[in-house]
Amino acid sequence: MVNAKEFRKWLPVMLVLALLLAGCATAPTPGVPEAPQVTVSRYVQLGAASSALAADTAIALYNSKQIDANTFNQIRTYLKLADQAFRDIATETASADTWAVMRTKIAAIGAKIAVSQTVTDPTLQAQLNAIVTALQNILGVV
Amino acid sequence: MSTVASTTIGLILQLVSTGISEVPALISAIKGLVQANPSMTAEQIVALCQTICQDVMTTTQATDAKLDAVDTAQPASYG
Repeated sequence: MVNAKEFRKWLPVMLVLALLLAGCATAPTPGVPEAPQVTVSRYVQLGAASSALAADTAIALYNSKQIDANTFNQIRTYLKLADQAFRDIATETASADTWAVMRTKIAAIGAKIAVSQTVTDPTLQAQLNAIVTALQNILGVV
Repeated sequence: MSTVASTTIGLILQLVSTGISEVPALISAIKGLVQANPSMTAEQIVALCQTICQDVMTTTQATDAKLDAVDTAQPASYG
């Protein structure tokens, strides 16, 4: 039960608290997505990690003669292009550009490399696919 | 009106109906409500992106160096 006397004592405090929160609470509501450049950065980080794994696998396959020099060179060229794209996108997300400018530049960078490579080794194929997925996710954000 | 403010007023109305002894619980509930709404400032977003960018630079440069170290003009090693 409410004690009327005690309630009157605390009422001003509660009202001030409510007004303060009503006026000052600008925090986003739960479930608000993170800033898009942060999401892009995380996908870039995943893509770069996938590229590193793919490079290790490709080198191991080449050294064990499971892929020839021509195939290795094609994969190397692709991975280096992807790495450069990830660096360019990461540099853009860390820049002082507005998101409107940033997204245009990122879309242009990503579109140049978001194509898959086909190899016979399933492990390497999965790692190459992960790079493409990261790039597609980036393009999905922008 | 923000979600935090409307929920706070709802909690106060609930307090009135349940008893004034619940004030500490109300304050705790409001505190939890505000803490459940994290937000990043523009400066924090830039700082986080710069940190990730640095990691991407390090990772990709190391990857490229490993790839460049393979000499396909020579027969593949068995190491």
